[in-house]
Amino acid sequence: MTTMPDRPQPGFFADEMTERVFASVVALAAEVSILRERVAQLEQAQGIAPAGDDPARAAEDFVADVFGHLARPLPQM
Amino acid sequence: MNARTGNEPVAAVTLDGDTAAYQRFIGQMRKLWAGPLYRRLRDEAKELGDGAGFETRLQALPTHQFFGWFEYNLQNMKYSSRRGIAAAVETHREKLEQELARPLSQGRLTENPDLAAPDYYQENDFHQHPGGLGGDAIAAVVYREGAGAAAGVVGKAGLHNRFAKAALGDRKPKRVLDIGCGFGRSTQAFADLGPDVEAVGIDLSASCVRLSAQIAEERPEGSNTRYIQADGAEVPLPDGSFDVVTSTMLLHEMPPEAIRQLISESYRLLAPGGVAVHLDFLPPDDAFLTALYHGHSDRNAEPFMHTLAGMDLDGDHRAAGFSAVEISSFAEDDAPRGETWRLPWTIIKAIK
Ligand SMILES: C[S@@+](CC[C@H](N)C(=O)[O-])C[C@H]1O[C@@H](n2cnc3c(N)ncnc32)[C@H](O)[C@@H]1O
Repeated sequence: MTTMPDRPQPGFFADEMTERVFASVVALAAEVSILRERVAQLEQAQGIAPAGDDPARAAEDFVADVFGHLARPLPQM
Repeated sequence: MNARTGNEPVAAVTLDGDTAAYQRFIGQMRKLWAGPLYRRLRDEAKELGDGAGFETRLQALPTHQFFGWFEYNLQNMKYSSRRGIAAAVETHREKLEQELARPLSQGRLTENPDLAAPDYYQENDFHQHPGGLGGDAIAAVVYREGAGAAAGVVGKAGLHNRFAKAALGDRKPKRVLDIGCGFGRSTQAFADLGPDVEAVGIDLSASCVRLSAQIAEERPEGSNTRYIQADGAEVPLPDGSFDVVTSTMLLHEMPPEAIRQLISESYRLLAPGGVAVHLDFLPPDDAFLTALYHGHSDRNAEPFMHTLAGMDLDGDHRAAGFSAVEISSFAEDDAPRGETWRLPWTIIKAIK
């Protein structure tokens, strides 16, 4: 993994479990983002996806899809 | 001049595909943090009122907890994770050490292996740079790569040229001293002000002055720059030998006593009528932005941002002999203010 949930670090969340779970979620998302780029490259190499897709743009869309909701208040039930 | 093959810059580092993808991910997470997440926090902070205890109420907001988590951890991941910049640069160590050790033109670089770096410099990993800039021969390359990677807040192209122009207006200096030159981009920006400028960059870090000198060596526009390993609080150069003494992003890495020494040294080094001009960060007159300034100090391993904010820089310059001290905010780009998190760039200028 790319982050170590066990390393000492300052706490930001009110409780430790949220801190750890969020660290794990971000580390997982980073891995997924890397794998998405690998897949895109393979698909391009095999000619099954258009060449020249912008990886920064793809990462931006992925981050917005997965984490963008943090910037918006939760809709009321 | 060093012979170079192709257009590869000196001490270049190529990131492997996975590291580049990881850094892109962090860059996009930082954009989310500095944009939408910042705006949500700003809007929620407006509801808190300004009275006593504002900072405590701000910190209790769940949005602030996420904001703080992003700020600290994304920087930490960028530098120090398995796919961080430090590890990526390390894989190039042998090549980098060889390139940094290449011969240089006479006078381009003065190293001082006996220089004792001050404690504050050795004890802090400023902006979470693992191990800091002292010591390791390739530390400056880590700094350079970090400054440009993952949507770094200080890697903006053009910032240094913009500052050099804003700092001096119509003045045409001949001799410029840039203290805390890093990998030389601030020194070069002043050297670029005109063909007659001679710019000297100094830094405590041997790695930094060496990288700066190598970069200067390979570019025609670097010919009027030279680099010296030295402490800005005690500069081994004669009185009155500069028209301008400048620094960029240095003061917030120094404790107040060292800053006061640097101010006195600047006065000594300037010719009469010379200008001392520094670009750094000071909190604006706004409770929310001030809280984020101090939060950044804590979360980005910048302990002396707190103390810089508490200094009387006008009084300290006047006490050293300067007149006409001016402290003003600096627009590092043309983006509209208030919509994204930004460092509160400030120019501190004084005339001898
Ligand atoms: C944040 S970097 C800025 C580098 C450069 N001015 C730029 O804008 O890219 C601060 C630099 O100041 C150097 N530094 C810190 N304390 C210093 C001191 N007392 N004297 C000289 N250099 C110092 C550090 O080694 C580092 O290279």
